Amino acid sequence: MFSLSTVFTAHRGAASASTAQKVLVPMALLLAALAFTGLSRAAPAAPASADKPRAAAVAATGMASAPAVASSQAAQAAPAAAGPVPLAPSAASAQLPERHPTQVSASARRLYERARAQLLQVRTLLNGSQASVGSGFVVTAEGHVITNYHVVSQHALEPERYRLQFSTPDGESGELQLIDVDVRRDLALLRLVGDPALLRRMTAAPLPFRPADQPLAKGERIYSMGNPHDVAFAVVEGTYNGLVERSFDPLIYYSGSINPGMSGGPVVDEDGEVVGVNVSTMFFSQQMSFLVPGGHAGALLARSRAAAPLKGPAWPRLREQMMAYQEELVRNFLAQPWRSLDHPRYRLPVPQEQYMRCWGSASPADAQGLQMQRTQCRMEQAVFISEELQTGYLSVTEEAYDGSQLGALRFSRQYSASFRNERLGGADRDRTAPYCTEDFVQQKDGPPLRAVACLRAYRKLEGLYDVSVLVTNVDAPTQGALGRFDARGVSFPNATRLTRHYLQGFAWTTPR
Amino acid sequence: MDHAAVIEILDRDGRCEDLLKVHQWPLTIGRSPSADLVLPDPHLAGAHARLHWTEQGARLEMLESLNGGWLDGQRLTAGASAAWPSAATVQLGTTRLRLRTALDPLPDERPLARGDEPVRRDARPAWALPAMLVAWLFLLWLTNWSLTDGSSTWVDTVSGVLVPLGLALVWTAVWALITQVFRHWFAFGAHLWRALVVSLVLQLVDVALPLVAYAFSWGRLMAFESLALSLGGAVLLWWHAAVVWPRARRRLALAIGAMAVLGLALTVGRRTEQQYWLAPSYLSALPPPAVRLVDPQPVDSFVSSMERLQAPLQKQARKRNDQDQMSGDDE
Repeated sequence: MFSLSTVFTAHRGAASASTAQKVLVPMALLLAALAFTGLSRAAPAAPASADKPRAAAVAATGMASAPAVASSQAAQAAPAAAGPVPLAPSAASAQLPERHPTQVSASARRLYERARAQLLQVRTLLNGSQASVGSGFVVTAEGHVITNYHVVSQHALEPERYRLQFSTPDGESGELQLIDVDVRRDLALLRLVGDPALLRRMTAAPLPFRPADQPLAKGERIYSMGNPHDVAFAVVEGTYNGLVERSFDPLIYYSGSINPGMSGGPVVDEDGEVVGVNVSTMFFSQQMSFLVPGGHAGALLARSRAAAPLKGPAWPRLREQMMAYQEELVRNFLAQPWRSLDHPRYRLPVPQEQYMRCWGSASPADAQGLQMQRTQCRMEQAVFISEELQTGYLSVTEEAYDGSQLGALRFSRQYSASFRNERLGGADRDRTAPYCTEDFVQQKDGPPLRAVACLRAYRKLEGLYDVSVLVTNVDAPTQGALGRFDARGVSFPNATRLTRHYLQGFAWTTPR
Repeated sequence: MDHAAVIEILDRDGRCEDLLKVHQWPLTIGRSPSADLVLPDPHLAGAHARLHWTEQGARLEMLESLNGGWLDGQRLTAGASAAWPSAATVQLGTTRLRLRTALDPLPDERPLARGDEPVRRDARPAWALPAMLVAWLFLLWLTNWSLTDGSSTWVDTVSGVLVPLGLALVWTAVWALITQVFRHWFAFGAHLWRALVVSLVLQLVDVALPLVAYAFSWGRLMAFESLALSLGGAVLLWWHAAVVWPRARRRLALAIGAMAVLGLALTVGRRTEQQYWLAPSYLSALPPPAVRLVDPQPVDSFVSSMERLQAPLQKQARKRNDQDQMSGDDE
């Protein structure tokens, strides 16, 4: 999300950066076209699915990884590359005052006027130039500010290289301190530092949160504020559409145009109370934006209001929060029974669709040779750690192959090639290369399987792992089912628990 | 004649190129037509040296000349005189000479090397090369066929075989040309045989290794696949080169072996962050069920086998963190 704003802001300075942007845009469009083609074929009626907002943002901004995934296998129908984008900018010159007052609704104007003093742009500076921009808002008289974690992640992870600065709609500026983060909800708590007179003005009327016992109704008008693309502070009218379905953590679906640079900005109701925080939008869709519910921001504030600023990189804090999050996620997931893919011979584990979305695809019915049908399930929520690292989600893919038209020899060759194609990732800044263990496995009364379990260890988030389990049935000469389970950012004991859970999901359709 | 002797004129490789019987002692060597041994070497004087027979054997006397000569690398200037033992090589101008007398023991007749026989009498029976070619083409076709889905036409099939065959023939022709240059022998059959044998063996290894690895669930066996490739390549190179330079077989083996080891070291060096220095992370071959010879293990024992990954992963994860910190300190 905020990586897009990075591109935008970089555009203003270096010529090389503008090239990057030009490259990004056509690639993104291409990807979008692919995604939609895949989707419309796979599930015409479905609303543009797309990865979770955050993950989607990754697809568009971190192009390097996205195409690799897309090309991995032909029928990459399931998670489409759509995505939310973060938001953020301010202009020192922003003399926003309404030049065309008639074009602004009365409510938006009134609410903006009221929130204006508490709005700010959060700028991450590298060597004095802005590396990324987002938005934020003042919530206490002591000068606490809420924004997105992804807006300040560079500072949080490398405080000695990146500084935080704020600027107001009137062009005044000062420093920001990082107090705490809620990485799971993509929230950060900051505190204003600077000219006392300025701070007094900004903290005179902190924005209140809408009480939890007054839920919004679908269709209510709400107003998002922030500084998109560092152009100028903006207020955007939109509609509250309830929560995103099948999301592990609640996320508000907002029909309004949020743009990069607005990330971390407040969304207020008609009374000017905060109902959410801008966090992401879905790429290649119209007015599909997502907000972190205001309650989470309120909880973060309540928890760390009295805390001192974080010292040093926030890795230990992130690790602690990720540990707690994965514990909850895995416990919840392990409590769910598997569903089964519709297969005449094998029972193949497919997760419940409580917080995962499954997409199906298959080779054409008249295809010669190897026939394949696939179900791909994935959590669309991912936890943003840095631009290179999004984690904290699960995915399951089941592929059933039928090679009866091929014969055993050709089937085994082509099925092996498919098994070899699985990507496990390589060593990078954040994670080690995969280390695997493999063997034949069989449960009592179950089919014989070949199982491969691979783990990658996180370097900075010590104790967290990515686990990938590849499983294939090995009892038939011209039939096979290939399953893959992935969990990102789980502890070692949880990785083994999930592996056991997944392997136990394989069985015969009819007991023999 | 007691003092029967021959002077051998040597070529650049130290082999006898021409031979002159000594009919009389002493004998003069030079460029002049009046010399007893006339050498067509512009770096010689008209009468460059004289060869005597003495009690101790042959003796070379250097006459007036600009360039003089060398006896086994030892300088001989005009007027010098030195005994010429049979083992020694004398160089006059650019011409190298060796002396052989009736007093020297005659080495045994050496068996004929196969490469020195007329080319027709080959190392292998006449049917071997065509049979190998057929086997090679069949395996190639089988490999291609196993990846098709039944929709390919005969054009695809034929071109899938012809292209590699064409490459093999070009490779062979290049080696045959090299042999032509160095040995005046267009050794097409010999090189084609070598190329086919090595690539056939490599293909068989490529098929057999995964089968064995799968049958016994020995994933580590796949390390030999990358080894086999570099080893096979090195053997092929050496085998070809040995045809071209048969006298340098041992040196070639050393040089090519060293290159192969270096290549392997580079491969391993690139993979030190991986779990295994050679071979992929997991065995991807899935042959038909009949190939499996070991019993599956229960889920719990598989899951507990994951435990042994934890320590090496932690170690690997910390390694890069330490490096990061070190580089940070350096700045």
